[in-house]
Amino acid sequence: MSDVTLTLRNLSTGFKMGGRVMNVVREVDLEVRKGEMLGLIGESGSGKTVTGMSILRLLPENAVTEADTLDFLGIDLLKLSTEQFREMRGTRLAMVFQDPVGAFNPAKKISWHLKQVFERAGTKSPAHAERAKNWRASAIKLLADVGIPHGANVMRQYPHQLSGGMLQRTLIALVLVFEPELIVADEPTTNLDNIVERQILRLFRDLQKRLDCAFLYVTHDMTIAAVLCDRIAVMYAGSIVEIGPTKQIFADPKHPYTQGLLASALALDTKTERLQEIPGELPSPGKLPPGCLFEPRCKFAKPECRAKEPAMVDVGGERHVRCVLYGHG
Amino acid sequence: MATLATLKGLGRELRHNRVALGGFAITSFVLVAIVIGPSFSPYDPTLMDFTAILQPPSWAHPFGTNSFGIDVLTRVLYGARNSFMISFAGVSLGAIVGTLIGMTSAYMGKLFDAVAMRLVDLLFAFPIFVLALMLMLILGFGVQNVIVAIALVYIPNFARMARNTTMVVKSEPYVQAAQVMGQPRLRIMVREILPNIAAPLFVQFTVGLAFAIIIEAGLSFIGLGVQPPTPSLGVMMADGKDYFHRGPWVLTLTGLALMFAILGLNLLGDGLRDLLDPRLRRRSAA
Amino acid sequence: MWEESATSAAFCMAMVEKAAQVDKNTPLLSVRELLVRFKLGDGLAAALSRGPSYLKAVDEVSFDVGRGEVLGLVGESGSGKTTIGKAILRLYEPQSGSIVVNGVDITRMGDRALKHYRRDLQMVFQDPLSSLNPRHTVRTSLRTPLLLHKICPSSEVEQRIDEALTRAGLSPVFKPRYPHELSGGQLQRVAIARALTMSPGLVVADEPVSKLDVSVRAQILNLFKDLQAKFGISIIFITHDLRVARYLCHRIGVMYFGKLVEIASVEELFTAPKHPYTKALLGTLGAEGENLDGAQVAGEAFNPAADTTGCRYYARCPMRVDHCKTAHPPTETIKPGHDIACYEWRRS
Repeated sequence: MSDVTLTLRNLSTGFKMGGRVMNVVREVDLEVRKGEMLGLIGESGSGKTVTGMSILRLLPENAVTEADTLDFLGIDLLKLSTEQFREMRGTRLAMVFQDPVGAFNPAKKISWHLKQVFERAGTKSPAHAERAKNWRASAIKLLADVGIPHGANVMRQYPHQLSGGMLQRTLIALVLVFEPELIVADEPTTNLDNIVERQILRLFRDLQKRLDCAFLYVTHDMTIAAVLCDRIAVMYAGSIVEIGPTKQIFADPKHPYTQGLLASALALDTKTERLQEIPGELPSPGKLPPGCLFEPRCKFAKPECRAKEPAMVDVGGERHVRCVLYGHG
Repeated sequence: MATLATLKGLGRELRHNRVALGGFAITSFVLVAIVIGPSFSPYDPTLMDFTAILQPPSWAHPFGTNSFGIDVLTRVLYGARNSFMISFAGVSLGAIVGTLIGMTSAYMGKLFDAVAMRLVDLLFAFPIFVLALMLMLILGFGVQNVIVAIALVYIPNFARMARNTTMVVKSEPYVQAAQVMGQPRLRIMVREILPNIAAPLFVQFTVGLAFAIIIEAGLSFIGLGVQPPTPSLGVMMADGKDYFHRGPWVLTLTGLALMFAILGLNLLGDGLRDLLDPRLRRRSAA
Repeated sequence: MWEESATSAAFCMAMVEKAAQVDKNTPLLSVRELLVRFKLGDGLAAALSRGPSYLKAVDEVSFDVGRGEVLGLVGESGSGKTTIGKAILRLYEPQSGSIVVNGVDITRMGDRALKHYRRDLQMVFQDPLSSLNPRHTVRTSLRTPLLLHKICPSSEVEQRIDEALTRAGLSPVFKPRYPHELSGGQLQRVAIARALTMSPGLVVADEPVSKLDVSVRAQILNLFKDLQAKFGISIIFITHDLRVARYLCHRIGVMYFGKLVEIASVEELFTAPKHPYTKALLGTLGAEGENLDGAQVAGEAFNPAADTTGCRYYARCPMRVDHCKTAHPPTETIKPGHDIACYEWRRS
């Protein structure tokens, strides 16, 4: 399995709250392969964002991350010092945020940001050094790649003069300068309007085809995952409940939560008289139900579901489900 | 009911904040001392005893006696009680009037806001003590006027803070919901806005109390405030300075007592600010 | 059980009676040439330059809402759809135009006179947490309107609160809770219950599900649908999601930078959209991959601070002609109930 870019084994992340640790991500196993876009789907509080942030060590100080394995192309990310990690972050591991505005220095023009990044990337390889020398031309070409045709004009502007969509494209361009091997994108289109959102999604799909890197795409929106991702991991209350290839999951969702999520996401696509509901609410991380976390909302719930949290079951075809309906693993 | 729940939560968090806890302990000690302390003292705070003039601290007189032979500790307790009451009355008055002006200013806007805030700016332009001094000269000496002077000093502080916080809260959807419901303006200000801006005002009150005690002591020290023989910390320190070389304990111990009380209030204020500021506070419910 | 159904029947009757009082043919709400503008750059800097400049958040918008009708207002952020909703409720003062409710013009009505009409117009906000006072319990939040408008004798208040919560799908055990103790979906149910205690004729719902979790959204949308059907309330449903609008609404108005560019019944809008912007929005629908290439919108969006003449959609429009640069097109009725503001709609 040399094509695996990132491997997570048994990743748990919690936050220290008044003397005790409250886990919001529990025992997550994931691998992201080269050239693949893996969708991490979940609602707010499902731990999807925290998972992404844990990989990139971007969590606040009161966070505690533990894992058996956190391997990135043979490098054990857990063993790296803060200094070493900072060296890798942004160059080999990159992140695209929900809010692009915060990533820019408001007092500096776009050209300044691009120049900085090209210069930093210049030390990576001779090819990069060459590009850093002609950074202006390289920047214009890169901006064109992310769908900004008038790069020279954009570079003369300040961040606040650009629209949200343009800013997100520019941020993606900045990330691409380093040709990172893994890009974590956390809801990069949530703050954008429908039409612009579609444009950015199209950009992501083009990039994924063109670049040979691994993508971890974090979103709450099943319809986005359907369009973009090769595989999907569905998170619920801090655990992955189902993982598998997108097409198969959409054709035949196994976990009752995935079924509900898909039904409510797709129900609006056609004129319907009544939406199918998932009853109840997400459990709060402070008081998780015993056994299966989805049991209180599940229409297939059985007494045994309350006994203990089900294990991941291999249901074939690269698919795994955490539900007793499919055996006990 | 809402305030009760808030106070309970505050009590829980107080235990984790050492600054606030220390301030709380000192302030409680001071309050208990000035409330019940005087009744335990065998001495009278104004009765002169010329057989015991300027005695250094001893078991009988822990803080010594002054030039009239009066027990200094007893006078400190009575004096601190007076200072506290005057300051409390002054800051309360300032807080009530200031908050009213600030909230009205923010809520009414337009002309009222423009005029009220320029007046507040004007008051702000003077150094606090100079302002108090000037007011005393205009109003005349005496306890009531000290209270008014302190209130006038604090009105701009509270007005500004109440205005700023009201401006933020007033655009909150729950205030709009109250408007849509048809609640009258006054009711919205009292029921919807006030409970949500009370916390920073409360902190301001605590810190203001400390500084008001200094103002009161200062005014009384230079003879503009409380008039002798009524005990007050400022009056006592003014006395003490005249015979500092013969009885240094009078000025020193009175000053230390004043410092102790102010330290407590300031620590409490700082601690409360941290506890009540949502930006500094780790949210328990995300 | 018997009591519950009896009181809710009485509630329905009250609604029906109220609707019957006014002539059936006049629309419940009629908005004419509404203009709301905001001052940009207030303060010293603006005073030193050339005085304050204005942003027309809502620019001469007209529409009606019929009795028991659900009108969707759809548009991107900044299109002015929320501003319209809040202006109708007099949370923003309109610059010009009129808002007529049940035949009464409330555009410039003072607070005191307005109080009687407040009951009829209610709002459900986007963020349920901040739409409830954090210092008030659920009981207090629901009791306030009942007492304020003397809706029932004070002995019945508790019972009414229970009913209101039950109607919104919540158990009365939530009464002593504070907002931060409830989840988003539960809070939105409380907010809906609060609006309904006043038996309003019209509810403005401003993106009421956009801050909720995906799995809870369907519950709230269904609740809106049920309550609307049960009580025949009119709703202005503001959303950026056309699919949500299709699910709930009878008619949909499409907004673009302060202008209402097209308004039509749901069927008409989805089967025969005329405005190029509506078409672009419809192109974003669907989960399938090919739709990603469907919405090809060129150019940058309208810049409200700079561009003042011409059609707002000019910069992005695939059908633009020179004529479109002269002025924003007037609204014309191309079919009964289908209005559009576009010079070139016949070409589509």
